Amino acid sequence: MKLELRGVSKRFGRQQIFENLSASLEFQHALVLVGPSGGGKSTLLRLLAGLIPPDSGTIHLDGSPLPNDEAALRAYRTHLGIVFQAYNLFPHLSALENILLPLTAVLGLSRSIATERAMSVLDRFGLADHAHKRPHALSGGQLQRVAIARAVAIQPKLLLLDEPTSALDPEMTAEVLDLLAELRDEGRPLILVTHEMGFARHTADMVAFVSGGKLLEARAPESFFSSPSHPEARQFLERVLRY
Amino acid sequence: MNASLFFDRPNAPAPRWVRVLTVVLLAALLAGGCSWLLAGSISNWRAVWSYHEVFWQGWLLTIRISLEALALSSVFGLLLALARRSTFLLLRSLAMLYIELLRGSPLLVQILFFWYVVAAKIDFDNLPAAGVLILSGFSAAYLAEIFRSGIESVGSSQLESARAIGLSRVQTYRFVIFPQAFRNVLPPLAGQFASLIKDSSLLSVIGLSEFTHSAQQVNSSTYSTLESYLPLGFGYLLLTLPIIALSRLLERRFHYET
Repeated sequence: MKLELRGVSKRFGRQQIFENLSASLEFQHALVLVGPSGGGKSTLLRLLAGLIPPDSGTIHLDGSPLPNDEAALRAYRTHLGIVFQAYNLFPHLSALENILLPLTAVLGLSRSIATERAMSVLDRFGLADHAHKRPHALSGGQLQRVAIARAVAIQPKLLLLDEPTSALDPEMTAEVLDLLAELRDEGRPLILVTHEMGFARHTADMVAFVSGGKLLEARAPESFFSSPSHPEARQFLERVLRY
Repeated sequence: MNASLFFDRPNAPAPRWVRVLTVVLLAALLAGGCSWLLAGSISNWRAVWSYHEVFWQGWLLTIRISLEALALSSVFGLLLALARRSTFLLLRSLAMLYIELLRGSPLLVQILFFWYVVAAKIDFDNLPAAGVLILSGFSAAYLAEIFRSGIESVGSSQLESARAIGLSRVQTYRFVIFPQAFRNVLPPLAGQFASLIKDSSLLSVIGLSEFTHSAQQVNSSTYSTLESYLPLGFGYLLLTLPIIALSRLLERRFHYET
């Protein structure tokens, strides 16, 4: 996949996140965004997801530009699977119903076909026993796997994940990362924001370092982690890998 | 008797017999109050009974007016709540002005004003219809705020999630906001509906022959105050208590942890 940013600017109120950011990234299956908190990783992911439009500039995915108007962006989002840090499942719906909603309401699948598809994803993720439970009855790791199941069930062109393991304990983190590694291995393209450096190193085929609203470095994981070229990236890695 | 028997704490609930005793005591209190009020009033009850048809008709009219106003004010209240959240400034301001004016003035004043001033000016002389409209307009202002708080109780992460899966604005309301908001507004909604039924009694001042007006007429014909007004109170309780019980039932039914 090819991702191009052409002069992208974005500000929230008085805070300028990106100013005239241009970059071109090519990756096979998994692009991982790393960098310090507040550096713009999540905002970049939301821009790519079409959840927020840039103030100026354009984003191109495989050569075609993202639309600007909300109606077209909505159509664009229906082909993406988006996963958030806080799971964002709907609390009034069961795990199964959470997965069914985009399939029936957005993609217009019949209920029986949608149910079949949703159950097969839940089954594959080892969640079939929890299909009829509401989110409050599930653990954090299960919630995040249901959220990923919801994103995967629509058979997205691209999976976008914003720090999917940040709210989980180590065991649950492993649970979710195993699932992501599996998705990557079957060749589903994904873009992931994470603080799990070990996972980034093993799973990514491209690592991008985002800090202070700039894309400072983008390289294959082996060379990025062994010899980062940008001083800020070197500093960041020294700090997070010290312990 | 030791008063500490009546403590009922989560970690030390009151025993069953204390609960029964509590109910018995309350019943005795109520019965005592009634027998004191009712002493020597048997003959008056006979006089009032001969007017039971007036009570019945008044009660039926109160039910009819309440039901119509309940339906109308729900629709109007929901539209107001949506207008109140509109991004179109003029519409939003208009909704705010309406809500604050109607919540800020007494219903009695609104009844007098809309009937004797507005209705008279436009030659609108259908008294029951005017009663329903005035009551609906008043209640809708309160319902709008209840609905708005219910809509806003649905967190922003839910809305982002709805956008992420590609739901349209209408679908977001239908599948995400309303089902969650409904549960959150049930208790205040039931309270407002009960208020509406009770508030309909004020329509008696413009001569609408609803329940309260009927009781006043029976009273002025029989001079039996207690015997006219006690059934009046019971008549309203008979309407409001089931609503509150129903809301408790629905609340339990739609309960889920968040």
